[in-house]
Amino acid sequence: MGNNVSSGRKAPKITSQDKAVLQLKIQRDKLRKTSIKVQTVIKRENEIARQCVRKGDKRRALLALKKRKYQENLLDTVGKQSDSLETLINTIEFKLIEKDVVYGLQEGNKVLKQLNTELSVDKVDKIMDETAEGVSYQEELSERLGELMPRALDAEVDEELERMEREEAEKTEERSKNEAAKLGELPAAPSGELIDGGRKKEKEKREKGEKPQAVPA
Amino acid sequence: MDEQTSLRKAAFSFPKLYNFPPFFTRQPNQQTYHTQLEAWRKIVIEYCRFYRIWALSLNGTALTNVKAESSSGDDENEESEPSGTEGEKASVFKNTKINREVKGDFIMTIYESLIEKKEASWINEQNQRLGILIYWNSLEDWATMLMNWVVSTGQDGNVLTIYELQNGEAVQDQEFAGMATETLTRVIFVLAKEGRARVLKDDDGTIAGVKFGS
Repeated sequence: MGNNVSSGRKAPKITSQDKAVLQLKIQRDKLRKTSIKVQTVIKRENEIARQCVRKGDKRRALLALKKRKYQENLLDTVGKQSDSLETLINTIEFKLIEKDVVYGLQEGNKVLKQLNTELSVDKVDKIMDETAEGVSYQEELSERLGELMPRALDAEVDEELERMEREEAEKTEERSKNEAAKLGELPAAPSGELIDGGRKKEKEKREKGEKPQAVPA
Repeated sequence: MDEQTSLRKAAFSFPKLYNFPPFFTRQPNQQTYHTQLEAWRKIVIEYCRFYRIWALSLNGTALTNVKAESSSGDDENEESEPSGTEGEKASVFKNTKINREVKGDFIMTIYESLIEKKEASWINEQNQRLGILIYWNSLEDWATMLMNWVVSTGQDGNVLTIYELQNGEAVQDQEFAGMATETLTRVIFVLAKEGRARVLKDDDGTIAGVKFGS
């Protein structure tokens, strides 16, 4: 006990309620001690009474028994008081918790109210209106885009068609040139099938060769 | 506490060394002496743990009523002293079987060695005759144990009395049950220093209760 009292800095705060509870608990402890004391006295008186009976000392035995009775009554009172103290302590401790609960409810309610003001019906309506506006705007936008799109596509398609036509025209021109040349060089064709096969190969070759030419055109 | 000791009817089994007469006198050889001292420390700790002794007198008998002040003013803890069962108390340092005992100055050496190892401390530094507290668990370990119990029983934030922590019905199955007030006070101060508990004092300055934080 000679220690220097160095309570921690972050130590729990001690409120007046804590002090009150402590006092009650100390009283309860005292009663408990008393009850232990009384119980030992009762035991002793009982033994004394028994011994006196054995010795035939009726008067003393009676006295001891009377004392015991008195102590038993005392024990009863002590027990009752101890009980009521215990109840009181429990009630106080529970009330303290209840206080916290009420405080918690109050705080929760505050937050809820605040949230509700932030989420007012008008505001929600306004937001919904704005959203609807946004949606309709978007719809209109895509409608417009829908109108625009085919036009752009048309132009593209037209262009492609033109290009293809040009390519085809070039191809046929070249082929007729080649054929004219071949006809001039070669003797009569051997058979239809072979010509077909030969042509196919030639065609493939030509296509491979022509493609890079066709792109820049 | 008397209940617990009577429950453990089996006697503490001392090591074989305890029946060896030279063990009871200080050995001149330095190395032997060190081993001897260590063995004694262990015996004292285990003996106290076994019989749940919180404090020893200067001749090695168990102290049931620990007081830091020599003045025997308050008789609050009177019931903790089981009258009758005391009688001729056995001392750790006395082996009746081989009729040997450790002399006072060697007991002091053993005690000082225990204190040095933080396994014990004087009840009152200024008045060493009052006896010594034996920490068969370190103060820190006791503090952790106590705090764990408080938290696990949902009592953090509550005020508890010292008596409740020693003799309360809820404490009886705990290892720290029946702890000497002087030891318990020191354990609580460990927690207070860490900011995990706060001491409540009575009007006369004695520690009456503790409020545990989390």
